Amino acid sequence: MSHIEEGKLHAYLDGELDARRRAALEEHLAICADCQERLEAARALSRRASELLAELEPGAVHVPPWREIEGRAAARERAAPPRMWVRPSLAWAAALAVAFGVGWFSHGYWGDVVGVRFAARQAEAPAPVAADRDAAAPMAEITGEFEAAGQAEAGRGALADRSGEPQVLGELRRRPEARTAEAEEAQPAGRREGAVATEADKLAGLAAAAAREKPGAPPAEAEAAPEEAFVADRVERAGDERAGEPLAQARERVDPARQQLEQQQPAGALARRTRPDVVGFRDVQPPEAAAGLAAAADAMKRGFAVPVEPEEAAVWLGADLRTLAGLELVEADVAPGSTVEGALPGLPAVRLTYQDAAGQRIVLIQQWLGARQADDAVSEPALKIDPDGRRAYRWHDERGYRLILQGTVSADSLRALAAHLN
Amino acid sequence: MDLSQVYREHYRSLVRFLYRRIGDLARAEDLAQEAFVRALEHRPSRPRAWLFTVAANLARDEGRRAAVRRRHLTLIKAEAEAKPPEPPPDVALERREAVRRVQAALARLAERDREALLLWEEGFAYDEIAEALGLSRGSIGTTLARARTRLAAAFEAMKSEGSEEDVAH
Repeated sequence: MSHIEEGKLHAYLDGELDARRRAALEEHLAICADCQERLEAARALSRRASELLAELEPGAVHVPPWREIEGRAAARERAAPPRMWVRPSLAWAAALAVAFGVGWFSHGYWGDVVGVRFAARQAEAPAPVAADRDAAAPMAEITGEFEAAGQAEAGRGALADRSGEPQVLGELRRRPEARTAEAEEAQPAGRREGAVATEADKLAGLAAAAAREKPGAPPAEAEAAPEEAFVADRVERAGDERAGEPLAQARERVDPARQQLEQQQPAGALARRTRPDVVGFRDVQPPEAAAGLAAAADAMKRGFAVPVEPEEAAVWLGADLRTLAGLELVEADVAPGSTVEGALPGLPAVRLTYQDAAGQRIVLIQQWLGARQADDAVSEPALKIDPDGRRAYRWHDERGYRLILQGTVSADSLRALAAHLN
Repeated sequence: MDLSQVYREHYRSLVRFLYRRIGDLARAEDLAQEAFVRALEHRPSRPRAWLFTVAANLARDEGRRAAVRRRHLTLIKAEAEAKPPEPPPDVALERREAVRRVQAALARLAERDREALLLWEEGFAYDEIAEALGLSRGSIGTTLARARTRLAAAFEAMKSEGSEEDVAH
């Protein structure tokens, strides 16, 4: 007689056996003392596990109002990139274009194969004329198996399509000493031009948008940031002062700056400094050197935020940098106080953006007031909740800092973080 | 089902589930709220099971992040420095010790066993646990039996280890 499995005993105690299995199990229990004993042991074990877990009661749980949760979801939806809906007609057009492309490619491919086979059959044929040999040579290099005889005739169509790239490669193989210079001249220049055009287009777009939306908007520096409102991102005003500027002028002004920057910095560094998440452009050099400091200061004057390393941020701040321990620092930048809402105009504001485990951004904005702060200006953190669910604590501490801590985490978490600021 | 009603009925349960899983109430609340925010985005047909599954995943991610571990340690350290512990009553001390041992015992369980046990304690049926963890319904009894046995054994083992340490001191 086989005994009841342990899992079934627990399922029985948990009330999770169906009627048939329960009846069968009870029938067995009635005649098996061993299983009765094991059943009692399982019952005690189950009770013990529940008792142990009952020790882990969280205590008073903070339950935020449901509208706060809805606000966070709405804010996230607004922040998410818009969905791209494709009309059926466009989808059909795209599908046809792809099909056409595949057909064209495969035609070239099969053309090559036919050409190669024909060339194999014609391997003993007389050599082609000089012009044809030039065109066929790169393909011969690629295949490495066939002579040019007959290839130009058989695969002429395919070769004509591809003659550009193999010729360049062939040329470079023949003249290795000239390869580097030519490649640098030809390839990256094209990329740079594309990048410059993209940036110029972006700026022109900004200028046009600003012209449409704010025809009479005052310059950025003339506006003071409202004291009582918080925003996570700085106010971008690059477009305001250029509103109405013709496209060509905008391009002319951006291009030299961009080119100069690219000459000074390697491409990797430029990509690292570029902030795709913020509207506007970041064509400023970080203060890594004296020239960089001047460029950053110039950018600051124009109201732009400058990405910096934490050590550099402390220099801008004029005091020790306040940080949040244990969280992952995503980025640091410095901007004029007048462009950061909630910050004081006339002083640089350092913004540190952290990320917590759930991927939430937590932003710490700080300004060092030092002797400018009156003794009685020290204040406790005051909470402000934006309609989109973002919370912010703002306060002046006894060390002379004006601090703003923002995030879409719970107020308790934010307060705990504020309490443990380094 | 209306999500606001699910929130009213199950938010505390979700926080408790997460708290038992990660041992930090503030983070448990954050993750529970995050799960509800995601539920608003996805509108699941069976929100309760969906929420606990998402919460379990969030808790799993939480455990993997070294940065958060550092933060916890830092916060705990800062907390300890900020609030010098007054001599607590023996009962409170014993309870804290018990909580620590249960947390440690729970941490010794296999991921799946632990989640099955915690879901059962939050009132999930075998069907729901099986769905949330991707297991067959027939294996849930065995999984729970193993989880209960190991939890009790790990707790007792740590209790005896603690007693030995006390004697040594």
